[in-house]
Amino acid sequence: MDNPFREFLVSRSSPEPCSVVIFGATGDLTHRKLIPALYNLAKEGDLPPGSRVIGVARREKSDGEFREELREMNRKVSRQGHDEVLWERFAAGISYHRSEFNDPEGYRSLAERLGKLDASGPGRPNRLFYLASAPEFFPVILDQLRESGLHEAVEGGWTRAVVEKPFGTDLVTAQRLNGVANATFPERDTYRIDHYLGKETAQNIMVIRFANAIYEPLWNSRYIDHVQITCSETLGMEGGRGGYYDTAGALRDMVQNHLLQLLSLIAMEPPADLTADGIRDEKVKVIKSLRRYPDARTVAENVVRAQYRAGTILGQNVRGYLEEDRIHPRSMTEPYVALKINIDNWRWEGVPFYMRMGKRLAKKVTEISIHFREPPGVLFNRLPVTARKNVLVLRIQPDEGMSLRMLSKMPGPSIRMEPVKMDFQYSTSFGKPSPEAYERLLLDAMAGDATLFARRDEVEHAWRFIDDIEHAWHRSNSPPPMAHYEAGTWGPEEADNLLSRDGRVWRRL
Amino acid sequence: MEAMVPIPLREAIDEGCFGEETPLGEIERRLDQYFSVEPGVTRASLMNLAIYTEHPETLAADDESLNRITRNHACRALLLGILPDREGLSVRCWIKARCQLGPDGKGRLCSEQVTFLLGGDCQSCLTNLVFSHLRSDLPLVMWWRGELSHHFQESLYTSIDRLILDSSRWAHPVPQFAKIAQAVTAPTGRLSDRRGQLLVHDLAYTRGHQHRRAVAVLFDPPAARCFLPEINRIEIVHTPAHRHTGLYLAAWITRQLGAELVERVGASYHYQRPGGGRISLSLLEQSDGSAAIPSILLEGGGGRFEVIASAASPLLEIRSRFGVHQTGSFLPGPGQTDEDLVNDILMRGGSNLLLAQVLPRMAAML
Ligand SMILES: NC(=O)c1ccc[n+]([C@@H]2O[C@H](COP(=O)([O-])OP(=O)(O)OC[C@H]3O[C@@H](n4cnc5c(N)ncnc54)[C@H](OP(=O)(O)O)[C@@H]3O)[C@@H](O)[C@H]2O)c1
Repeated sequence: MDNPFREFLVSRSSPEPCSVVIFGATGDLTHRKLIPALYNLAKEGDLPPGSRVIGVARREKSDGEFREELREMNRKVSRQGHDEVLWERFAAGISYHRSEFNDPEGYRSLAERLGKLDASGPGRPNRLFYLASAPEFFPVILDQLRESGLHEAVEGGWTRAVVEKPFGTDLVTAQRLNGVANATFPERDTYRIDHYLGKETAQNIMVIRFANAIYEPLWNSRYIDHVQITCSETLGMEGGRGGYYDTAGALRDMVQNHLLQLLSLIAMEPPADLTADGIRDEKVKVIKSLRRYPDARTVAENVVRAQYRAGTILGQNVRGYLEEDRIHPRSMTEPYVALKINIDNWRWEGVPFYMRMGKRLAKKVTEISIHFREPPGVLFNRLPVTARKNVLVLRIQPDEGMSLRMLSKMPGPSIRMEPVKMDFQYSTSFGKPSPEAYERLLLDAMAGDATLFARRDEVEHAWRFIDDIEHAWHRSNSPPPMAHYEAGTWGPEEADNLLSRDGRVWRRL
Repeated sequence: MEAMVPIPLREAIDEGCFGEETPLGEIERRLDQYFSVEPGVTRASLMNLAIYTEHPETLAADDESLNRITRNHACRALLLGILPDREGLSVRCWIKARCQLGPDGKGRLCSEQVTFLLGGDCQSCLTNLVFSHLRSDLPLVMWWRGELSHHFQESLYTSIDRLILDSSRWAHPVPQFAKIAQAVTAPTGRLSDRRGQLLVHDLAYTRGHQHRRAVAVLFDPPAARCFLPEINRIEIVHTPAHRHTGLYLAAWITRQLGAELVERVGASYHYQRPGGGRISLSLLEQSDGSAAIPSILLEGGGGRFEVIASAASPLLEIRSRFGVHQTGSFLPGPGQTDEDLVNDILMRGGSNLLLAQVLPRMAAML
């Protein structure tokens, strides 16, 4: 029987109360993101009552100590502030379970503990296993969940697994991990996090495209000249992140997941429906249509990798990549990558997607810009003008929003045109601040809505595309060179050439 | 409109809070001028939001309401104070910008406000005044304070996109609801591009929103849902000012249970369920306490489900006892002020379908 009181009350599928079991519960992600996200959901009344959190890690710790640590961090980072009364109520549902990830006994006692908790309330025995550990433990945890029988849904409830990034380091490891994941949980119960998809603007891409009459007719090679996707950071390798980063690089850390996800939302065909698979079916078609780079020569032509050298950012002197902490002094890892991507399908024939991602660049921004073709060079367009093309910009961060550049006549007796910009910002238009990506994603996982999570085939096809490039860089006889740029600038000259060769330039940000 | 005749405001009003007094024909020019000289200012607007009142002594309070709403919803605000019993026609107007620091403390973000004080009983004057001061292409939301007078006429309401009112403040709700029914079914006016009906939000209904969520949460556990067919007694406690909120909740709960009203005795209502079962529902008035709806109880078949407004905090407590289970939890409580409720309405938007379904059932219980 459905709950009749839910009719009309919410316009989304409702999350169900569950036990959220976090593996890696004393880690940074749990403290900074997951617990504050759950707390903020509780504050908004969106966390279903009866939900619990069981944190798993290996250090000895009492429930009280664990809660105290979480409280301290929540005070500092919670999006909507920290209210002691509410925290007390929320934290009453948090407990700590000490176990090594590879210790079967720890899983047996966890199962017992969950069984007791389930029996103590009227809710269904729903369980959400959140793998927030370092990625090398993902297969161990999944194996142990399977061997202990915890992966099986208890009668009347469901069991789901959320897996953090990175999902593999290449196609082979991703397939292996997918193998373990799917041997443990069916694909429909496997939720691969890509927190970019939890951001409002990412979700808004589909609304902009498919809810407005004016864009979709223009959304093709006839009217669009090219697309640029930029994700730039000012940060380098501070805070000890160098160790992990030097094994990954910009291509694997950002492009394989976040940026290809954004690209697929921009390029996909209208889905048949708004179901998770309806949308993901279309996204995966885009990723499958990415033209691959079969050899080192095509990689060299279409991809630029670079490292930063010492420079200044916001008046501060900063070190070069190879001098950073925990970076190998002869590292060949790229903190910067720029790509020219072609999508071989009907809609995008001849429309390049240029993508760049880098550390220690001039500004922190993530934006997608759609550059429309120039109007015919007659009438007004015979006149010289600086920025003739219309550009639609979707800003992911900071200042989530969008803008449209167009030409307008300057006041005066002569016909002189200048670009003007129409701008929309989420924060200045809608009073309510956007929820954190993790809030939305946790809620969706509890509601069984996988739309904003990556599916197995999406992940694997993305790796296939990335692997060609990694292979050319690290395993070919004539690897494309490593370019360099000064920290605090907009990247290497070679990346500019990638566009100037085609008569284009990177947008000024 | 005739020449401006100053209307003396009653002494209690601080007309200084309305901003700069401006001749009627100068409003747009002066606003433009303000925004063009102020550096680092964004003139933001998502809608036209008008507050209408025939009690100008409340204008200063309404001005404060706009202050609290525009913090969350950038808009062109129109504050309309009407003095229908004045001889002749007269108008005074003021303009001001309401600015706040932008996100991250960058720049200033401003809404603009135009305040009108209109004397004389001229229906079309009001409508024309509103029409000539809207920002184009943006929806018109009107918060009508008090009774729907004869100023609430077709040429106006057919051009409103969203109408907010508070039926709990009405002395004569029956004819007022009839007016609403008429407005909702009237065809859209020339000046609105809304599709479908006028969207009406009754604050008396919105006040019950968190209670409705709480009732829904009580029946989320499947084991609790088994008790739904057994529910035979409902008790809703309300404070004297909030009888309408109680009635709305009663109408909503019984509608969702599929029960039809068969008899009313005083504050007790008897319903018939499709399967033949009966429900008796009582509305109890309680004069103390700050919460509009201190409690809701649903009972039957040995199950007991309660929503209780906590005296100590703004939260709602939910408790249930059914079978071997006993549960308790807390949820966010309803907005504390009318402005909270309006903020909530503007935030959620939507088509408010449920109220449209519940309203006739509620009106039948009046
Ligand atoms: N941090 C972020 O903001 C962020 C953002 C996006 C994605 N991620 C992803 O999230 C995951 C976790 O990142 P993190 O930064 O939170 O990692 P972290 O701070 O290093 O935390 C690791 C956690 O794993 C536990 N652990 C390690 N080895 C264990 C073992 N053998 N048995 C039991 N527990 C063990 C640690 O417990 P003890 O304390 O008991 O040793 C700790 O709770 C990674 O996959 C990362 O890529 C993180």
